[in-house]
Amino acid sequence: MPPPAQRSGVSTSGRAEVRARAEVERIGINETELLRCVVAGERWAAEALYELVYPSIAASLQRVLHFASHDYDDLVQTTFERLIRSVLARKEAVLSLSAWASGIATHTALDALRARIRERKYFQSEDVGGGALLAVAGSVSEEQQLEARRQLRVVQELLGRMKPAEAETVVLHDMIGHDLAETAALTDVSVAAAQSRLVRGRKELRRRVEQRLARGAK
Amino acid sequence: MNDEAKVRELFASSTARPIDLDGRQFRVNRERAISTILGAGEAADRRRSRWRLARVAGGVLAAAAGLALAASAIRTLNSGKPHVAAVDSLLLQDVYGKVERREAGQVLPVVGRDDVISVTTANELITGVASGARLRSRQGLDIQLLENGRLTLAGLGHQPSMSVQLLAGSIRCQVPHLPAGEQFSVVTPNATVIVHGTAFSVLVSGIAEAVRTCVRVSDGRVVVKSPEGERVLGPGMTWGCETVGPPAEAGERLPDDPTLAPSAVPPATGREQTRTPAVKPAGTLDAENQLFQTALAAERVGNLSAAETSLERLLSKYPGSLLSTDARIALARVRRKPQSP
Repeated sequence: MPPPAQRSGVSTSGRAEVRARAEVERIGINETELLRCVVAGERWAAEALYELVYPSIAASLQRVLHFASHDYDDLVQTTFERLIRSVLARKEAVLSLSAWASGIATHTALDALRARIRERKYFQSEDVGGGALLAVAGSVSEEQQLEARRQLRVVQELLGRMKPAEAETVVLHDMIGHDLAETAALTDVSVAAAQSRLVRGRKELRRRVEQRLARGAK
Repeated sequence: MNDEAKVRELFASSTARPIDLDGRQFRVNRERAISTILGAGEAADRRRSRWRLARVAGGVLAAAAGLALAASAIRTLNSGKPHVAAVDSLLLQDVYGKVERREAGQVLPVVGRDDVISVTTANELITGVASGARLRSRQGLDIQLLENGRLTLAGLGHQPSMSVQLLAGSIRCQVPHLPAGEQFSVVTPNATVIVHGTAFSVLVSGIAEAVRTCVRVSDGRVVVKSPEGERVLGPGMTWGCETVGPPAEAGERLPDDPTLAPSAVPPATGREQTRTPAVKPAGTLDAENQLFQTALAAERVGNLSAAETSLERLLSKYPGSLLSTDARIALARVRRKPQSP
């Protein structure tokens, strides 16, 4: 389980969220009522919601995508739209809007990776040979930085090619830092099913990485 | 290296990287996002309205076919098949103090407050002094059984008229909005409280001929049926609670005090009453309810200090609140819980 600092992103992300949460608590309403105010068209509620959940959305999108791209803003907007629609369509209240937003952002980011693979815009020009998959250690030279970037591209490509449910589970748990129960809730499956997807997903990712390494070594 | 360690190593550079919230690299248009949020909320509201309209229209069109199906279903039910359980899973949680679960005369174990156990409609729940528990169904029914209570769940298995039987003590209910034709009721020894999607509390005090029932409605409407007749209660209204509510001098007493046990409360007459402005200014019920719900929500997520603060605010700001008894009980429970490190 990653430490809390890793789970919430960084201190700035935590501060913004804490400020927003404190503001919501100060005016004495909970997340459900905040959403009700958003539906009623209250601008202050939309602003409070943005401050409350953007840090989680940013953490998920930026970790999965890693590199800034022109469509980042579009992905944030898509995430907010999906978040509001999914929360309002649910019969039961979500446990935490931030966690729910993180799950939706991860889903959106993985969708974007898959779309890029399909469109061949992203990976075609990249050298994703197996030799790139070496851990970076020691001083960070230019070559090492290049290697690290290549490694990230490879991991992204492999995640984009994996089964969506397994990729999402591995990312939510091992990259974003949700625990198993949260991961299960965010992917709408039982804890046992989430555990099973996690184990299979990790195995599959590792297998693909090693396959790529072997191909690169030839 | 196992799979987990390998995957974490592959993700290491992503997880170690600080998140850019200042838009240095990852730029986001905040204004556009706020417009998106408002637009999505409005669209969802419109969809729900259309869906409600479609349901009404669909309901009218399907009425004829439904009648035929209903007749057939009634014939099937009457032919000896068991009733379909209206509440298919009941969970007992937030147990504190001494709580017993009985089934067919046998006492079944009830575990600690952090555990959630599944109970059936064949169960009866009994709470001791300064004890309580919370019963929830997947359908959204939420019943808080407070101290010195006795609650029978058998009626929850019957559709469309689900019920619980409160033989002693008090409960606080939150009932989800029920489909047309369905109802939920609380049966006490001298009254029946019928509700349709609301929040309210019921207290039974005294025994035998002296038994009294007090009903307090927080939200929605309930119908109270008693030998004296039928009354409709709206938000903030009470029935049979004239002397059951906490007196002013009882403000400092904690729920552990056995004199606050429902059986010790002087009996009340069962007739309707509304809150009088002399006791408490009108229009504060929403604020009181808000504080109470906030406290319960904070307690549920383990934020005990926030729960304590909300309850203290409720008791100090609204000392004559209809929720003050429940608030004192909740405050005592919160204070007893160990603070997480």
